Amino acid sequence: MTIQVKNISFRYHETAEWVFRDLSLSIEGKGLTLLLGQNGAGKSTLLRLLNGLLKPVRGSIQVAKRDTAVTTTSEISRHLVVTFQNPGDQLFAPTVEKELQYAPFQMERENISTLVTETAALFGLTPSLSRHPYDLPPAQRKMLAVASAVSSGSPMLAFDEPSAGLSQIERSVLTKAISILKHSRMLIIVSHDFHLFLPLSDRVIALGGASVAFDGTAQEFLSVSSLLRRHGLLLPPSFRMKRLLGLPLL
Amino acid sequence: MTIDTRTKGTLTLLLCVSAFTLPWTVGALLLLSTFLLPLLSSAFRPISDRSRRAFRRFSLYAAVLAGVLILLNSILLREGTALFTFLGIPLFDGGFLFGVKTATRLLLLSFSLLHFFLSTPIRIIASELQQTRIPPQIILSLLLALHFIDRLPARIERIFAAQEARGAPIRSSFFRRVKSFFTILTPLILTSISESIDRGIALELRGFHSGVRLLDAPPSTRSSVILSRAFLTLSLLLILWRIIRWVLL
Amino acid sequence: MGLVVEIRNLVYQYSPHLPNALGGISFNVLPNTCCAILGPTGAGKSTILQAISGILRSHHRQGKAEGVIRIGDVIHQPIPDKSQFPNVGYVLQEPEVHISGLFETVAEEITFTLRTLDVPPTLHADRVRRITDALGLGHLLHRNPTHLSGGETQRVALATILVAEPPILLLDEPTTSLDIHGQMRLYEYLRKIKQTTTLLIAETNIDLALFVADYLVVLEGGQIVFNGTKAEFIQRIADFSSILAATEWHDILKSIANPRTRAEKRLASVLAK
Repeated sequence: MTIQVKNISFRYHETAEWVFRDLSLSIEGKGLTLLLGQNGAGKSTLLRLLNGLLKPVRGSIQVAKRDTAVTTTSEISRHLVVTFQNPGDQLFAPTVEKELQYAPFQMERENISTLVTETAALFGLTPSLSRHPYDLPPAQRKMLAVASAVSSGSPMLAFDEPSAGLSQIERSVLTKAISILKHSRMLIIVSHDFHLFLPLSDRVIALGGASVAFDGTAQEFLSVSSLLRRHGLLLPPSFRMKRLLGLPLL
Repeated sequence: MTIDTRTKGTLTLLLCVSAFTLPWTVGALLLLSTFLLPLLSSAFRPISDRSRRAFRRFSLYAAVLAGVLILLNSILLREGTALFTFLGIPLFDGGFLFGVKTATRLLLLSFSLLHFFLSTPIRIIASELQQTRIPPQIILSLLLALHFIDRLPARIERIFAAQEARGAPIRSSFFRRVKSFFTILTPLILTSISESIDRGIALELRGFHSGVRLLDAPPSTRSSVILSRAFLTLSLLLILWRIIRWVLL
Repeated sequence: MGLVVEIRNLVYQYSPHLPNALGGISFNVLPNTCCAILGPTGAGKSTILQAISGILRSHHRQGKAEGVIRIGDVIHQPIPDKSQFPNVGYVLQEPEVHISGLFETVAEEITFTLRTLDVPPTLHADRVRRITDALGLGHLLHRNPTHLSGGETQRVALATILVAEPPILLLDEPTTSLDIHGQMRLYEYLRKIKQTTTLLIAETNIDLALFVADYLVVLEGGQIVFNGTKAEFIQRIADFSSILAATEWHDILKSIANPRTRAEKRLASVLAK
């Protein structure tokens, strides 16, 4: 399980500003990497570069030793599946069960029913397997979009704002699922919800200034406030208050 | 030559009416003339790169579909003499001619509409419609339909991207792309309808029904008023003539 | 100046085959105050906002409503039957739908609201600048509103309604796509305008409730389970931890419940405002 990003530069078209300039990073093995940054820092763009939907203008990206410039997204997805923010663009099967079966079926996995059953149980979707995805409440549809990536069986998973719009119950299910999955897969999460994912993170990467502004552990991240301020990254109010009160942050 | 939106709209209406009222040979000449419109007037040129790309893509698909239509008619309408055989199947000249006539009419209709919509921003269409007596709710529905069509290619691309990101080899062949398109048709329509409803509500929440014009259009010139009335009158006359012919025959 | 909003025994059923979305709720929002409506998904938060805004009646004809809603001096029985704009400004939960697709720049998109209100054109630039400065949208004015990120879209959606300066403002989960910067800017702006506007905000994010709200209503399954001041809510926050995303605040609020150190007193006063 490896992702190698080497000196990539990217912009959407010739007259646009550079989103990334000479960015390098490397992620290996199991665990949770939290990807942070202001709106517009390029977090979602980076995920699209990793799965080959976008190609870097300069530099190279290797996912499971495959160069994304010459590998199709569907081939990369056997190793890395990315979910996007809007579940409405991702759900298209007539039942929840078929939705969970879609990815492992496309990838010709051998143990499809096991993957589906385990994923449904992990995300609390077992009672809803025969329901139409659009009959689910919006928050559960969001969970289904995340679960449909997990059921693919791919060893690396990246989620773009998986907790946005979820209320407490769904957030608890999500964080519990993440805490279990991170022991067997590589997880990359883009999120503003620090308090949910920071305590679970093994590594934090913050984007800023068209490059990597910070790369370290969650504890190190919380201690470099001046660097964060320079790149427009703020801790949420609850974290700042805890710091002032001397309460543990993680 | 500059043409205002109203003149452009009535000319488009005349071309569409001509497609089904005039002889197909005249229709074929008019079809060729629609390709000259962007050269004769900037008012008919696509408003963006996206529109230009859409036009090129549509032209390709339209040519292919016209060819398929002509071929199918030649095979299925066994009238006249067999011209030649295609993969062992005879093609008849009667069916071929019928196919050519039908394809010409459909192409004239679709290219006339395409030129209009690719060269006219939605808000200008809305602004013109607001000047008429059409109720705001109907104008809103039309706008939402146009917006839906406008965003449809981007939406389809996003869903294809999501499918591809979950392992579907969408880009491996045209057939796979078509198959995937049918898979996403239902959710695409469901979410688009729901989004259109919400978009209509959002416009209502900003006072759209108060009747304010979306933009201040320049006053029409005398020549454009005469031209648009002439096009409208011609269209009505053609329809009337066609109805009379049908009743008499 | 803001107007009062009063809801009395509001019951709402979307269709005869469905249970009541709201089961007889009552609460008031005084002028120039902020009330946060908290609750899990499906609790009925959006239903309340839609009922007040007038779109519930006009867009769900088969729905059945009972009760009374008072907006300023006008009493609606049971609920308003058409959009209450410009008295009531309502920002929907999905910000993308506020981007009409009719305009080529963010500035034009926001200005359209002022045109519908017949605001003199000489005032447009100033009003648009004020709201875009407050929400950090200055650098986006000439961008195409359909080509923005999620957070940018959410801020533009807010601007299209806030520019109208309605006496009552309804916001449906306004922080969903915002980063911390965007959230803090929004809190600052809302704290400023609540001196002249009545705010009603539906949220799952407890931060907004704690930093901006004067009163809180907690909904569960269409019923009110809490209705009181922020101070009262803070005392009882642990009671709602199963339905609200508030667990990270428990330790903080316990520490400042009886403030002793300077930091604790300072934070207690920040939250008390």
